Amino acid sequence: MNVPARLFSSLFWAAFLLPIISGVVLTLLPAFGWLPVLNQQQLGWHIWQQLFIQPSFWAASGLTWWSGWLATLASLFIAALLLQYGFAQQRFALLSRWLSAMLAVPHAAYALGLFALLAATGWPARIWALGSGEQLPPQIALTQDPYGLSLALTLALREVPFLLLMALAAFRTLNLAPLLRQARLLGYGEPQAFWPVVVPQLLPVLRWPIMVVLAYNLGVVDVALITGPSLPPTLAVMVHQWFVDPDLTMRLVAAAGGIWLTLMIMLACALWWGIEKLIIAICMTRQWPRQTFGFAWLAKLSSILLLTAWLLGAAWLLFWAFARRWRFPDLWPEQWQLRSWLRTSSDWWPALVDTLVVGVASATLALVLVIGLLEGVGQLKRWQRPLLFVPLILPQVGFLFFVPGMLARIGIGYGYGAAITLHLLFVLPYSYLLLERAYLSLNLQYEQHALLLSKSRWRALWRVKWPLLAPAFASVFAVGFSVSVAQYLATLYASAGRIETITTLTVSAAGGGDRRLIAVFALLQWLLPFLVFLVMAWVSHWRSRWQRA
Amino acid sequence: MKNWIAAAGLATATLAGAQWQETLDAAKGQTVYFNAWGGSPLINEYIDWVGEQVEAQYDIELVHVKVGDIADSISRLLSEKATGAQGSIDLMWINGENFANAKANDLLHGPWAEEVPHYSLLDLQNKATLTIDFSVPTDGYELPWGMAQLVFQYDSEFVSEPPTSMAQLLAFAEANPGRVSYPQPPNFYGTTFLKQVAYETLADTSVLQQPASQVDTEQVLAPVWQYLDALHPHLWRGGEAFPANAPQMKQMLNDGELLLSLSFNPNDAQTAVNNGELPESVRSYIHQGGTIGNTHFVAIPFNAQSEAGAQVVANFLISPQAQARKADTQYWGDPTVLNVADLDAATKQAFNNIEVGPAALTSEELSATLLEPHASWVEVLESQWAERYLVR
Repeated sequence: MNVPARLFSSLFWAAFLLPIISGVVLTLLPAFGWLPVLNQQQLGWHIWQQLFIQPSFWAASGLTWWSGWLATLASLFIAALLLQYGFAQQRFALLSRWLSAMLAVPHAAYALGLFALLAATGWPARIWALGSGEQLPPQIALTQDPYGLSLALTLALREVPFLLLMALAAFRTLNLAPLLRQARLLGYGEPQAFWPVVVPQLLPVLRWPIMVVLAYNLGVVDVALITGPSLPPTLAVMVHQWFVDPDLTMRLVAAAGGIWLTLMIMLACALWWGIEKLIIAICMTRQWPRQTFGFAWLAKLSSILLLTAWLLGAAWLLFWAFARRWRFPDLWPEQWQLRSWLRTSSDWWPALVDTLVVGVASATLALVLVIGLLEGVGQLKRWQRPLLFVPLILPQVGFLFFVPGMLARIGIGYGYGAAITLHLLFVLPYSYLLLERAYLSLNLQYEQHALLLSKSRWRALWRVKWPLLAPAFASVFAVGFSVSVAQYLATLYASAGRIETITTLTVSAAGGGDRRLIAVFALLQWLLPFLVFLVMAWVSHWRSRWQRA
Repeated sequence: MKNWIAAAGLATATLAGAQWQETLDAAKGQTVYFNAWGGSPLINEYIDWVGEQVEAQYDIELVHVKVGDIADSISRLLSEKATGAQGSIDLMWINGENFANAKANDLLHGPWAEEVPHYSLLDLQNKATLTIDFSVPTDGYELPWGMAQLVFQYDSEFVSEPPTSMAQLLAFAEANPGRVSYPQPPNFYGTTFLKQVAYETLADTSVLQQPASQVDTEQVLAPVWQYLDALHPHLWRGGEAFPANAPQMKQMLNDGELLLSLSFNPNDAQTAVNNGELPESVRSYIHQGGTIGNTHFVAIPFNAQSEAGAQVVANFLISPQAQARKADTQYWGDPTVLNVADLDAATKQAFNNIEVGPAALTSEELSATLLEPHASWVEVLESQWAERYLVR
């Protein structure tokens, strides 16, 4: 290993491990009774006893377990249907073109947009009321239902694009498309080729992305606050509430709750490993029919659902952002105004700037670190990969809490430095995951030829390899940026609230309840990563045309 | 003798004046991070205006750090104390149990509040809550900023006679199933609703002014749970889900999903009508026996970096100029903490010129204010509520 390679790999791990280790230690101590600021210095299990007797602690744990699994399995199933029905054969051209853009929508904005369909005051309810002559909204519980179904549905729909993108990338690396073509030529139906041949190869490659989705669904706070049940809420929401409880000693219970949630997530990930084997076994032993019409029908339905949810959600936010008065059951606002934008411009303008600064910085840094790592030391080793996913799997609500104090202590302070450091924790794993795929699918012969011809490693990189990878760099940057934009707790804790991003604005406006202002911020949250995706798509398009010319 | 006293008074006054001048000098050029709830654009605009004023008058840069819940900031103070990190907050908007806990855990700087010049303008005689916050003496660790009283709102288009007691509310909910609710405790509006239920259902309410630890709370609060047991089946979603907070209830009132909403600001409905958040037909009311009133304050954390600046800003917040603007429904509509009768004629006029509007309540209509129960009841009400209704 040469010097820059060693430098990159140590930088990579320092950016990563320091905050995580300090976060974990600083959460473990209070969970076992150690928090000297509150005169709590008695190590033992008493905090855990207190945790287990919190009202509805077990119900909340159960709800979390149920809704997290339901959401994950549902999104996996939808993604599999779409793939089987022919995503890989471009049958859903419209959907696949918008996939990255759908992925870019931050979760909170997505959940707020989905109210267009789900809420008792959403469009379906309005149409029903206009039809039946009702004045008041129907009393149906499609959001915040006690079983967490709306929460699971929101998360499931939101994660499908991520799983599909990951699967499509794996399709290319595993070179599965020709295999499917051959199978068709030999007279096999789609299900016969997809389930016993593709799925067993695909699932092991998707293991980590699926675990990331699972962990996210179990530990999410903002979406669960918006559309999850409240009696009891999910465990992550409960832990979040304990962290802000006026009774300060509840911080210790919160720390223990955060660790409990982590244990649940780890158990879930381990369980997934077994389930994956089980699914593969079932896929390979079952007799698959030539055609499954139910599946095809379901696949069409889900692709329509994905697109309408996304489009109607955006339209709903757009209408509210420009509405002055919009009462039930009108289908559109009775009065419009620009005022919601103008009066909040002193909020969202600086927030846009801060979002851009932090997002661009952390996405760029992550890109540079990952490229340096991949060029210098190559792929991560088997035992290193799990470490990479630790920040995505640890629930933020637990381990992020004490990290900023630590950062301030070592001089990073509050503000951009701390925010970028924390965002990097979440941007890095995604960037690595996507770029590793791109590197793997790159034909190594190109590099060797280039190296032979130019005789300089740098020139080979600059002239041949990196230009080939440019589209991948662009999309990794865009994903990194959108991951950064979506960070709520990381931003809040890191900057002491001094850096406002569009996401922190959205969540604090959601507390204020003025739907018009929430819509303004959520729409911006929706648009910003979308624009970056468009720019990056344009850049790589332009780049490849320029290359051909 | 009289002269001597006057002279002594003058001397202390000059001494205080000199000290304040020192504070003003120290504050010059400082940046004050003011952590305050940021959920209302009206309030945010008002704080922006305060920022412009203190910049022009005292050369202080005021940064409004918008928080969703001030308990977040208390957590932050705790984390800073634990790690020994530099303070990130200079001034915070606070009251009630958050204050009680922060004070008890030495997270606040003080006492300082009684030394700021405008302290003498406060209506200490008539407003007991200015120095006693949820039964906890403020002891100069926080400075009053505004007055609040629990009020209810209804849309006169759908409701002709709003229920003006908890007993009537139960009948109203029975007649309009699924159209009544309250924010879920421990949201602070929800907890206030529970306190209001306690005031209207307990035979002897004086017990609420004592620390809860001195009585058998299960027995004392039995009528509260009895009432809620009867009420819950008729609530929105059959009492299986609750709105998160009062602003959400306001939106639901606008949608017609709920027929009643509540607020801590008697002018809230009017400001909401003015900016299109609620229809013109919305009106406010309170319960016959009065409703809970309290005061909100500003406090300075133990590790504030710009302590002098924070004091100067706090003093400006209770200046007649700032309070008159705050009381105006055009801007915020938050009732003043000052003794308006004692102010000079021009300022008094500024207060009297404020138009209330049909959706708001005048100070006469607000009549009886009930004192906040002792802060220890908050924890008791919230945990017993959770034990009863959080577990299904």
